[in-house]
Amino acid sequence: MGRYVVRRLIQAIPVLLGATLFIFAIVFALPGDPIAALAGEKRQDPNIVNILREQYHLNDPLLLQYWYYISGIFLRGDFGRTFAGVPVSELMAGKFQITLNLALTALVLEAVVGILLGLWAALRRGKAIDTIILASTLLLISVPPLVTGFVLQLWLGVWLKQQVGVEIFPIAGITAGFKAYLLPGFVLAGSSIAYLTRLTRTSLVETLRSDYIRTATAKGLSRRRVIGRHGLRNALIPLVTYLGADLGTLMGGAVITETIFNIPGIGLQIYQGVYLREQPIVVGIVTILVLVYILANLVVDLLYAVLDPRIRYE
Amino acid sequence: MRVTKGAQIVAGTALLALAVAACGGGGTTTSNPTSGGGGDTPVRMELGEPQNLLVPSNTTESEGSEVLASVFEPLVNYDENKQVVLAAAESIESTDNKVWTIKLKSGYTWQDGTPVEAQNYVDAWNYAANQDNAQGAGYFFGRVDGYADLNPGEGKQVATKEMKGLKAVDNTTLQVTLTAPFSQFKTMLGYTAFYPLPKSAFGADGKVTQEYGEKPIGQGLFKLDKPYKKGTDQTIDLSVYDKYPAKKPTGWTKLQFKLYNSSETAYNDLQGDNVDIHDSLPASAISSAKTALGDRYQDQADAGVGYIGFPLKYNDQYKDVKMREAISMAIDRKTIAETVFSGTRSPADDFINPAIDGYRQGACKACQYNPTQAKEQYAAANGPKTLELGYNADGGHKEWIEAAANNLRANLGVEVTVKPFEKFANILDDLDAKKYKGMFRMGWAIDYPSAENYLTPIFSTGAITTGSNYAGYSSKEFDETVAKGDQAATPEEGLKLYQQADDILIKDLPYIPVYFYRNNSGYSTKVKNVKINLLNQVEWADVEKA
Repeated sequence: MGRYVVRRLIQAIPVLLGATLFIFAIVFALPGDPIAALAGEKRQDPNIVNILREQYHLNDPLLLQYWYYISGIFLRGDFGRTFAGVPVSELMAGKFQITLNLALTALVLEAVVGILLGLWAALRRGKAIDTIILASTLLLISVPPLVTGFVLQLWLGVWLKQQVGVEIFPIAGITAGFKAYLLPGFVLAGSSIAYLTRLTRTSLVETLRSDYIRTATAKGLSRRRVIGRHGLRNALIPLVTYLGADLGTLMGGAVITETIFNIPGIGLQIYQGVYLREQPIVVGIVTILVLVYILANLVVDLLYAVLDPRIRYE
Repeated sequence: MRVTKGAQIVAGTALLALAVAACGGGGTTTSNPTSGGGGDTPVRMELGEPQNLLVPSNTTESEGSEVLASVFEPLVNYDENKQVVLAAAESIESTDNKVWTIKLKSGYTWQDGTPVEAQNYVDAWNYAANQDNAQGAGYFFGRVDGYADLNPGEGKQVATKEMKGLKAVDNTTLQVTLTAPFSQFKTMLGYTAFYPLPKSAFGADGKVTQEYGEKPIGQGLFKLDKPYKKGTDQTIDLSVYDKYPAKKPTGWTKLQFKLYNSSETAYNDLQGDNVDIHDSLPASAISSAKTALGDRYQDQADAGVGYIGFPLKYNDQYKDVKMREAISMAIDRKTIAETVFSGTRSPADDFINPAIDGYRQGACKACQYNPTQAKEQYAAANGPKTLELGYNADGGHKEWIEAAANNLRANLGVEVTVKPFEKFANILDDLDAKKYKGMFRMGWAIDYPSAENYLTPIFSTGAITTGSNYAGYSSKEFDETVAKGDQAATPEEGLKLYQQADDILIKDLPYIPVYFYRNNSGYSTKVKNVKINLLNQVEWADVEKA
């Protein structure tokens, strides 16, 4: 198992290098001069533009620029600076914390609500509650987060506060601490909750039909034990895969939610980075996101072995 | 009760995640003085994230300027009648508009306790103008004698660190010599670039330090409570500086800028009384804001202008002024301003904006909507059958450009291709490379509130290479009239000459003005008497708590 983990981590190195070079090249290939574009409609002094271009190595060929960047990271632990002169590592440290808070809130909401609803629907298969759950998940999937975000912000944020006079769900920003993440977390998790509910239901329904469940029931085990120990545990494998992959998506794909709820996370930062063609920001964030994906996948694979003792890694 | 292993893992992960999220939440929470009773609750204002660190000479955009304007006292300010009034300056005088003597008012001190001296201005301005420091607002000093020495060009060594036209005569007197007379020099001095810098701003290498950029020390009304970590912090917190010698706000001492990425979100926060002043209400909120805010909604002229530009330098098709007039008359500016922009713009009828002294209502006759005459004149001028109209897709311009294109199609009977570019800079690149030869949208936000600022930087021959003259328009008569205005003995005389230059533009139409910006702001029930000045900055000393 230890060797397996080490091997997986070593495999991650070329993936990381490849991903950084790829992203670096993509941002490099975008049209236009990022320095000149900073000035908007006013023409910046061409002299100053050139000096800044030199300073950020923008006049050098792609591979040389990439070398400056990657050697900075490995030799000096320096992720570079933004055009505004802020060290990217400093910027990322703050942003990742915020996005991680948001993504984990979403992930927990997703796991708890999704699995419970799926469980409920599976156990009441064909009944009214099953239909209601399936219908409402369909609704949740079809409404985009842009809509749920604004609607929930207006109702649970603005309207509710105007009615009761106290802020129950903060309208925007993260200054209120943990509770500020609840509403955006739910919006972010919205469609994932729906997918997970459906996945849990299907997976559990299928498992509950298998022979070993019949055997367990025939042995006289309690219903709780049959469903919990033999049914749910076996049904969890696809769910864990889904949740693991979703963590990365939740972290990197929160641009809309972060904008609506004014959460200064990496989703927005990556968008701004691409927009301003700030390679250090884009590549730095993507590198860490790739790492998150790799680690989440590793954890998922290891969890398989815990869930299903027949799976062994050597 | 026995808990299954699978459930243990799920529950464990969930708990762990919650704990991490909760800890993190606590850790990144900035101190929030709004919670808790008693104490002095801040006045809170909506702000976008400043583009750069808070260094005056490198701040050319509105958000950073708003913060710096609260921390620094400018030499001059602007009153409600659009006129220059002295602020940190005791007097600003010149006999020939070329050598200017600025006397500083006494009583101003830096927020670290040291006195403000004339040398602080000299240091700051020399730093801004030096190409080695690559400061965004360096070009403001282009008229000062010696600017060229500090900007010899790329790769060339800067021989001196001082402009020869800039001198501290004594502790409170500053002498500025310009390369040529400029009657509007006084008007420029209210801008961010002209703030002084304390000695402590500079590091051992002579550059402004990052620490200073995070926590600028000014000589103005407010000082920062703690360094601003750009990209991470969601608020910028300030308190009134005790030793500020001019008018202070009554009844409150703390100011908080809250950073938003979306003005819609900020508007929702305004309705929830979570932010007190919002000075850039989104177009989508205007109709609801009028009823929801009532008296607390304000709509005033903003100095920005939106144009459609003709590629005179690149394409002979647009050479005929009669044809340009026809295009101008075919555009229904009123509908664009009121419907497309929901009233956040007003129809343009001059090259000079109504917020600025010198504007004349209805000056541009060809800016009036007249589809019949447009059609006749276009046919008579034998205008081309197809037109191109380019815009940058990143700034919310698509709607009005489409509307203008529809006007041209309907009123001139021509085919119009609308061409989106990623950014404005791409339009200019493609014009230069002759890859694009059509009309283009253009906008102008002023650098200093003078009529001259709508003329020289956009339409003078010199601005083709160094300024924003993207049409490539060149008129000797125009250049000479503006130059006469620059040399005029009094501001009034200067203004008359600038208006004459404006008339030349109206006659030649290198660009057609389409709309003037409006400033749409709103404030919460907790404050009153919010006034926004010519530079779109709040007059903090006047704001009162309601």
